[in-house]
Amino acid sequence: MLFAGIDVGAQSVKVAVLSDNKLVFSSTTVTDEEGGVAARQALDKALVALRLPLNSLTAVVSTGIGKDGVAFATGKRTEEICHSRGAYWLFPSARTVLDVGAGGYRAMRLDNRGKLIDFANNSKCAAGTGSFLDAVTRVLDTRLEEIGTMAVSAKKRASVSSYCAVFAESEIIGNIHRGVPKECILAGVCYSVAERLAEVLHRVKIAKDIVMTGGVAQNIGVVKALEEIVGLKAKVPHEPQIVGALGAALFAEEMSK
Amino acid sequence: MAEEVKKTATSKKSVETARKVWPYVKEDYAMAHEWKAAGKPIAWTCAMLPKELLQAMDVYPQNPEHYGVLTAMFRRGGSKDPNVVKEAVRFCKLAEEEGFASYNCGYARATIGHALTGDLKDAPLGGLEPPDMVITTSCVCDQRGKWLRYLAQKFNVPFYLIDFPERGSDLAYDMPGQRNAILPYHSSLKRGVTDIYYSPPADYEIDYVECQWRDLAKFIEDVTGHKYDQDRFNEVMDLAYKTNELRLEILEYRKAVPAPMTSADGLSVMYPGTYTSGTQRAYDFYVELRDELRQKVEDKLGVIPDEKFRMLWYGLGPWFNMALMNYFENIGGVFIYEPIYNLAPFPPRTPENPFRELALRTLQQSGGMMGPMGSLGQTVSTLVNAARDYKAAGIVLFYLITCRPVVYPVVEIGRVLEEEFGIPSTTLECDLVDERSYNEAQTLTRWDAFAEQMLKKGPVAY
Amino acid sequence: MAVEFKKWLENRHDVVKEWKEKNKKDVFGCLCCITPEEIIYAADALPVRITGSSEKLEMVDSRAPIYACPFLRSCLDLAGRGIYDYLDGVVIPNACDFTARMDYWWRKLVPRANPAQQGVELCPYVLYIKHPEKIGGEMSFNYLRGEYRIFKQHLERRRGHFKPISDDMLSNAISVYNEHYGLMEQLTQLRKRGLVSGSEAFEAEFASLLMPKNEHNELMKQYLGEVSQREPKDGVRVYLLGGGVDQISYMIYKVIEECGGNVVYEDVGVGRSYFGRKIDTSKPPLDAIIEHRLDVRCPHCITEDRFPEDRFIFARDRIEGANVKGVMWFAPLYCECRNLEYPFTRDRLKEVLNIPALYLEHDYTLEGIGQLKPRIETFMEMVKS
Repeated sequence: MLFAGIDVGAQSVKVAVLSDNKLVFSSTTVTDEEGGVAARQALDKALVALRLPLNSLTAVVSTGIGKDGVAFATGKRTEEICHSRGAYWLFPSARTVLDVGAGGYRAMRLDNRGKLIDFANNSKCAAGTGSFLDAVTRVLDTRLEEIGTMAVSAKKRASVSSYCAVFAESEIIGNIHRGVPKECILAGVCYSVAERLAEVLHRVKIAKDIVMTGGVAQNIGVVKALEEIVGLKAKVPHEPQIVGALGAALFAEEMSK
Repeated sequence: MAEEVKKTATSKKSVETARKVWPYVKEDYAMAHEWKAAGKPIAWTCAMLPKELLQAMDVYPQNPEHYGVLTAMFRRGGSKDPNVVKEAVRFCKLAEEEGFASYNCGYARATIGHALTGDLKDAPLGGLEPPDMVITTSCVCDQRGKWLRYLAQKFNVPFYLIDFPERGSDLAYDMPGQRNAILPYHSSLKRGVTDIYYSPPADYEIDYVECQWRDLAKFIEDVTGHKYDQDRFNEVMDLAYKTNELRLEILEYRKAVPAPMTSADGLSVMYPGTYTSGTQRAYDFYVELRDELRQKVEDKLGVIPDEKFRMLWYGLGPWFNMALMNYFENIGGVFIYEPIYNLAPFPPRTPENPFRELALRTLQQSGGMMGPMGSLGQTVSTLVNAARDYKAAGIVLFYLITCRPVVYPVVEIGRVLEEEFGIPSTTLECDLVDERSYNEAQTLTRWDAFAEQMLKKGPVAY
Repeated sequence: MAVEFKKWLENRHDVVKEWKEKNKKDVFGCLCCITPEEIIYAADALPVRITGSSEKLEMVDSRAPIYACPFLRSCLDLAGRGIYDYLDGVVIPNACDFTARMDYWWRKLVPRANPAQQGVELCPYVLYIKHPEKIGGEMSFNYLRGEYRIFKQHLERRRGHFKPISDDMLSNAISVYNEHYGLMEQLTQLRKRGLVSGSEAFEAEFASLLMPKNEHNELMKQYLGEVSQREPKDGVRVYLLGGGVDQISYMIYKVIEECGGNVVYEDVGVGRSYFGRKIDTSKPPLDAIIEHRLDVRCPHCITEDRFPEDRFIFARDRIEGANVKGVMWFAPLYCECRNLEYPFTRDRLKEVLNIPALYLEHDYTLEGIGQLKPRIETFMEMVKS
């Protein structure tokens, strides 16, 4: 039997397919399509890749900001619940999960059975989100994938200390005008993002192990900065962005039992 | 990794006596540590609570509010390394992680964070000493009641709130046909006059505050076992009265052209009178300051050689970067007065009932026409009068985003001063200790435009 | 015909204007539940609650700073635009730093000609009440008596004519209000039995803020009769704390219900949420009203306890036996009073009652409240299991 999870995020749609409690397929599709349509397309692609008919899924659970738009889903779960579930499945030692996506970030605390016992979200401000990093790539004329590696190569860190995204952007421009090297500015940016993340982590009272999920977990600059701030190593799965979808798929499986 | 950091600095001193504030402060904190070590009681309290009763009953007052200021000036362990964040930032973050919103007062967040570290000593000047009680007031803002209540809860010590009713029902400054209803500015009134307010405090209001002062004396007796002694209380009250007279005299000298003292120093020299009122040390400090200012005024010595424009500073100090207050000095601009923690004449001494006298005084503080302690209309008229008395040509409004009482009147002050006298204004928008909220580029762009405007503009005809 | 409270939620201004037109009586606007409504009622005038709207702000930004309670800013904007011109007076208590300053702005933005003598207004349009910040004990009682006596005098001199408010008039008002408090208690019991949802209860109560309590009492008797016949239906039980809740922002009740929850009791600054008991009729009427009002646990006030635990004890007493699974804060942005008591209260709720809490900040927009939904869903899932 096949179970799918779909995570409709602010910028992309993630799909995970489970069979026999094994992850058999995963994908990330960046899309401008409206959530429901994008979800359908992403799932169709998955089934084509698996060479399976479109009606072969037993259950589908949706999550993410656009979860309500997925009309064909047999269930819905929130991002906090799905990321916790996915992270715990990958790392049974996970007690704190940090998900950082394009539209927001959240910290979750789990007990030793993986049950959610507390969570905290970002405030309205974009500082600390993936979208903020996106905006930074435009200002600094760089690519998202490069940010992390450039940041860790820096010898010095520029000051980006404002806790407001708009202010931070003007601080970055100030740094550019002063001739601060790009990688130093990026190191400052990653550090400032990590500071926001550390804040929500502390709110749920950090416990080992920390697992980081969501697209921003691929940014080594942010991960290193975060580890420096909280003084603990973070576990990052191979494909951190699909953990939400994976958690949703696990719920789909559970529902059918 | 090394970090490039925001440049912040302390202000330049305009008077010699102001250099003595820092040793004075250090001595205060050192005395607190000795006091505690000797097993004597410490109360955490706040600026707007007169300290006379505490002094008279041998309770050492420490002020989280002032400690917030200190955390904005120091890095951990006294480090000079700009890569180490200021203590205020470290503490504010801890408070925010505990669930206190970032829009709360910087003093509150910084000292709550200080308490949350669990190690008070690992902080500037050896930190605050753990309190034996917390005594606060409702005066000025909602924060100081609730923030100090939290600290009392945190340390599990007795808590006392003394409520000074903030009287409203004032008429708006420029309400048509009612202009003359605004009474003259407090400092131009004869000393000792009690009904300087738009309507004098009613008996039931004075009774209310008097009862609470008496009740507070009982509270302290209960907690410490120290007995209240009226003669001792009167001695302290006498000293406080004399000190206040001196401070009012100092204000008169500060009106001189050229200005003998800056607002940055004004915000610094308020320390002895605000936090150690009723002590001989505070009195001696102001004698020295008064003498220095008197001499400077006689000699016509200004803060800067060529005074071109005079400005008022509205709001508290940007403690993490007081150098901002010297920003206009190289082009001839000087901040001459800062109507906050303002002074009013004390009611006459009544040694037979010092509690009632103190009640009257505290009611005048909270309901008087003085800065944010009064209601909004009173704040606006205070600024209008201060602009006239000190011959100000411009005003910088501290848009103190984390202090409701300071920020609420800002828009009205700017509007009324512009309409009334054509006085232009600009703003500084941030917290008072948490430099994360400060944006240098944006601020200085605004200030440069303001400086140009001030230089073009002639003196204001009052 | 079934009792409907919709019109008070959807057309609040029209309903009040209609009533005023028909009854030819004065209408007073009140900003907070600590207003002694009974005295206004006794003076043969109608006290109504001032609330905001979801419309775009038009003029408040040019006069008042943006770093302030979005709910009150909306109220002030409406006043400045003349929407509240039907009021014959406005009662402003110092319920927080911002509310206290409404005294000034209301006068400036909604000017009314008033005869003044030496700066003293004889018949003020804006009535300010300085409610003590420290509550309990004889001291605050005596003080508030002073404030209420002046308040009463102002009401007696409305429109320049002297019409005394006698003790009998006050006693009559008290009996009407006591009946109201009693009916609201019955409604609470029905909520606890799962017969009335949180949003329905709010709607019923909200109407009482815009009409005379005697008329509302009649409606309520009929309503209670109707709903007590229902089948019980329930969600995950939630206790709600917060502020700035009115006909717009009460959407939070509905969002919670959509997520499978149900607010069984609250502490949100609306009517019943503070008045846990009736007014004592064995005492002189004004004194009884004062005592009753000093019992209000507004987050602005602090009890005179040496080891204060105000909000926790208040919450504990209310949720006792109600099988509450979670506590939610719904505080407007910049609401310092609510925010400053949150961490301690949250920890006590967890330690003593093992009930988790969720803090939600709202910007008083429908969109902003809608955006809180995912977090509420997660919280519901968390407390359910």
